[in-house]
Amino acid sequence: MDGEEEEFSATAALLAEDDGADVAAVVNAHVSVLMAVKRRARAKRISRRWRYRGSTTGRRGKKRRDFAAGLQANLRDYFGVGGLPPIYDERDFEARFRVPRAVFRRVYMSVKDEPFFQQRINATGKLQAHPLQKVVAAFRVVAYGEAADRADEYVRLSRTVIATSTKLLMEFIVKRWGPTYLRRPNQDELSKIMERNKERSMPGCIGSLDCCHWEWHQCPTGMAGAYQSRKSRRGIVVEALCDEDLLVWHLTVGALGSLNDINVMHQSPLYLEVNGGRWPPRNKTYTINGRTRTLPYYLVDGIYPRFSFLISPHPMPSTEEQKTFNRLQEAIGKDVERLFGVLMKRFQFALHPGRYRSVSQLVTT
Amino acid sequence: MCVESRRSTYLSQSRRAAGGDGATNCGGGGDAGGASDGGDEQSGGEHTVGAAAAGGPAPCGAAADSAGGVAAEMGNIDAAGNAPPALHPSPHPPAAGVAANFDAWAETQNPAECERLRDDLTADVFRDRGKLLAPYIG
Repeated sequence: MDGEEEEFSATAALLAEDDGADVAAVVNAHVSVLMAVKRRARAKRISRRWRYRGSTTGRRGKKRRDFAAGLQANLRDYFGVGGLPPIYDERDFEARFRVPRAVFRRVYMSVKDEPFFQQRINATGKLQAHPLQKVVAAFRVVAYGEAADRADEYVRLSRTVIATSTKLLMEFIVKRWGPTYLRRPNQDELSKIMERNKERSMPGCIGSLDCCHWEWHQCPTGMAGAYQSRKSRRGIVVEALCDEDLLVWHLTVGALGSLNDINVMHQSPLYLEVNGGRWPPRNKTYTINGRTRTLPYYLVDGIYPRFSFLISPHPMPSTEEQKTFNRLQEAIGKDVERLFGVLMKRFQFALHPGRYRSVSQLVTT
Repeated sequence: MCVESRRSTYLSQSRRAAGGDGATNCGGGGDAGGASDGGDEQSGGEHTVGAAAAGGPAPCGAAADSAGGVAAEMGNIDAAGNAPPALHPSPHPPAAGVAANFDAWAETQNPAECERLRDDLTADVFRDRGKLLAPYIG
């Protein structure tokens, strides 16, 4: 009895004193910590919720794009359906896709079995977009330089699919046909180039070399110092080498926009190969003014340094001979300027600032 | 077509760890291995080879036939001139030693030779100026 009284009295004393407030504070602190942990876990769940793709309440429903209608429109307009001729003829086809039909078909037949371009069946058993729609949409973006969702109403594809199609098609083309067409000339081609330039009074010349800029719309501000040119535009530099027929024999894309032509050339693979003695071949001789040489050369503009494989105009022509030479050198050296003009007019994607986030994607495109 | 990557971020590190090219993006491949956000209704959200093989999407040919004979329509397209040209790339010279590299470097970086070549071309062009400049003078 005495013990119980003592215990009760101790509890009463405990509650009677201010210690009760201390206990309550401890309990409150513990509860607040638990609530904070719970809030953090809930916030984490919410932040991850966007990754979840599925039928959830409140999620925006799919647009009822009629894929079959888009495919039917493509076939009806350019390929013909049911034995009927296509609505648009060859001239329209080449004007809209910027490539002949045979080239388009070749690209389509090559890419249609790629995993992304294959036609799929979704979970409900419905057929999804046909590869032809994706290829047509990608060609539209590249040919006209239009936004990815511009062709949605025609090919019936979403902006994401069109953008992905464009990206993957460009990567596929570069991977598949880059080694075939973007290479150094072989011996026969080199002989023809030199023979043709000999007729144009430039024996030993194997092409024209120059650079141009491509503006980069999505350049991050933090990289502006590297990619901003002297004209206060952010972009990358494209160095190209071509012959009279505008066949591209060398292309370097992606140099920093702040670099001038000399710096771009110094980091170009072409320059490294020429300096290493691996290119061009010295087995073809040519004679100029009674002197025979073996090292071919490229025509460049006045900014390039005086290297023996680069021929630039006279910096300050004073005599009639020098003025005559400058006139002819600049006329022939405009081959590469023509190349840039033709590329930009044909594929108007290059006319507009690049919208990609990464330089690698700009390079691929 | 080589570009050195400017930054080594967490993203590039993770891509490199995943087998992508986080450090450089040389050549045409680029970041082809990067995953798209393809949660769209048409794509099925994945476009890797493994996913295509295992995921069970319909192969293109059967689906195309059922979608209105697209393969037959595409077969009518003229395929003339599609064959790629025969390639005979010029062979690489064998890798030379350091002395040969220095010789080539000295040969190509010679400004005096550049001046001589330009002077010879100038004299040569001036000799045939009447014929050469006719298309441009008119």
